[in-house]
Amino acid sequence: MQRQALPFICLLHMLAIFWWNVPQHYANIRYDQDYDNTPLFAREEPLLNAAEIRANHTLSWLLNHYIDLTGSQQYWDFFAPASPKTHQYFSVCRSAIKHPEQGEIICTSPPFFSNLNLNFKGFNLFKPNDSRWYRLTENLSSLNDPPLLSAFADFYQVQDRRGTLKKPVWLILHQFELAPGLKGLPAFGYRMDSVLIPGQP
Amino acid sequence: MQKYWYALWFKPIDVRQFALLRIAYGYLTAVYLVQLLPFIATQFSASGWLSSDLKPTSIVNWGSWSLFNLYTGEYALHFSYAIQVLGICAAIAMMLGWRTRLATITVWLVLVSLWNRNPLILDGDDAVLKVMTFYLIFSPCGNAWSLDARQNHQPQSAAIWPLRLIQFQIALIYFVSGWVKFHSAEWLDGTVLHYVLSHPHYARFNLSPWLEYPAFVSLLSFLTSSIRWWELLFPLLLLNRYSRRLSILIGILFHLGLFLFMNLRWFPVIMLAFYPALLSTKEFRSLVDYVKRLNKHNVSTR
Repeated sequence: MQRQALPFICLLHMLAIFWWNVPQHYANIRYDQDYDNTPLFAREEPLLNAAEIRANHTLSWLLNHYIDLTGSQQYWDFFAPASPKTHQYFSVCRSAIKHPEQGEIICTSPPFFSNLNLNFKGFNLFKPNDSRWYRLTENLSSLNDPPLLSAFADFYQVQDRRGTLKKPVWLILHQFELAPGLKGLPAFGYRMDSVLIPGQP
Repeated sequence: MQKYWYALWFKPIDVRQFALLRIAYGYLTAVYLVQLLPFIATQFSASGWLSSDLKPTSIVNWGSWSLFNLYTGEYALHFSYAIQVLGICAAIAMMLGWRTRLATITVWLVLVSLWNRNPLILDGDDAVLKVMTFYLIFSPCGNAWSLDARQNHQPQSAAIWPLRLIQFQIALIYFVSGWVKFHSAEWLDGTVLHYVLSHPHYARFNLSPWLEYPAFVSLLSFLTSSIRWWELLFPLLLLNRYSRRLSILIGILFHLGLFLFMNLRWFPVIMLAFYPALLSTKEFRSLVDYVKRLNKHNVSTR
């Protein structure tokens, strides 16, 4: 009995993780070049249909619950880096000043939180904190979800003993766009900071 | 047909193949869980910035259960540290092969709990550890090179099916990763590595000055194209003995390259730790014998 059932259970698991990966991606990816010149493997039409099935079918409900129960969630962006054209960091502070000509917004008070660090990291396998903070800011800035951003900024304000929730704080996104082919640009790219949560001027 | 089907799932293999995976992933998980300790208070406990009632729909990969959500009261911070320390102890027990199945289940519970509590700070390497531990639960990975095996004699061969799941997972990772790269304009035009090598977070060293050399740019373009085709075709390359060996060699070089030039924490090592699962039993035994001979030779020359 076990010998007959096991292969089917394995196949069910394989189906679940394959289904979880592939249709999910191609419902979200937009490749906006000419379809005829798009490589075969980048065409997404059939998989979009799979994504539609995902939303309605009973099987998708079952597979979703199976993935959740077994903690098998896995997405393409885990295994292929997001577009590396930009790099970004956060600062949370009480007051800030804008320098539009340099694309900078700089904290004028000591920041409650900041992971702005433009040094190349070298070999730091046993000091991974920078990369964790980087991942968090990368995700938060791409989601750009106001409740999440507020919760983040408020927490670091309260964490710091100087902070109280009564005064609004600045949440600044320090973003840099790389252009490796262009000469004359700073090594870390073109800076274009923006304010995600405006504090007191 | 029935014979092939049976062999596909139940062919006996050397349990040391599972044991090697257990030791590697036990070690790597212990390191990862220790390195996450400074983030427990702010990122995973109920007293952190992400309160347990804040569940925005923008996070689509959020699982529904987590040990960290079991208690959110006054001592939530202590509770969260206790879970993490339990995970570290279990990962060490898994590596040593002490009460292996219980240890592996505990490690998996903690890894999934971390993931489901705050996926925003976690990445591909964490996901690989999580899914790999899940497969090891079902394998007899404590039957060799373990404290359990020293206490009780265990069978030294077992059915291959847990390894088939692992092999499928590896193939899926590469295939999806390759597929995604075919959707990226920077991967298609070959410039992605120009950005990566100038990126202050992803690059270990600033190699952008090298982009002035046409030979270097051509090499990057060749590598970009080769990598995405190799990843996309990875499942097919596993089907033939010779292409599988070639694919393993390319994979080792690829991940060594990532390790040397890119800041991806232990990701390349975690992926390379998968590779014993790609060997046939005969190849695995030859490798073990070779390492033993090498050890003997080193001891005798001292």
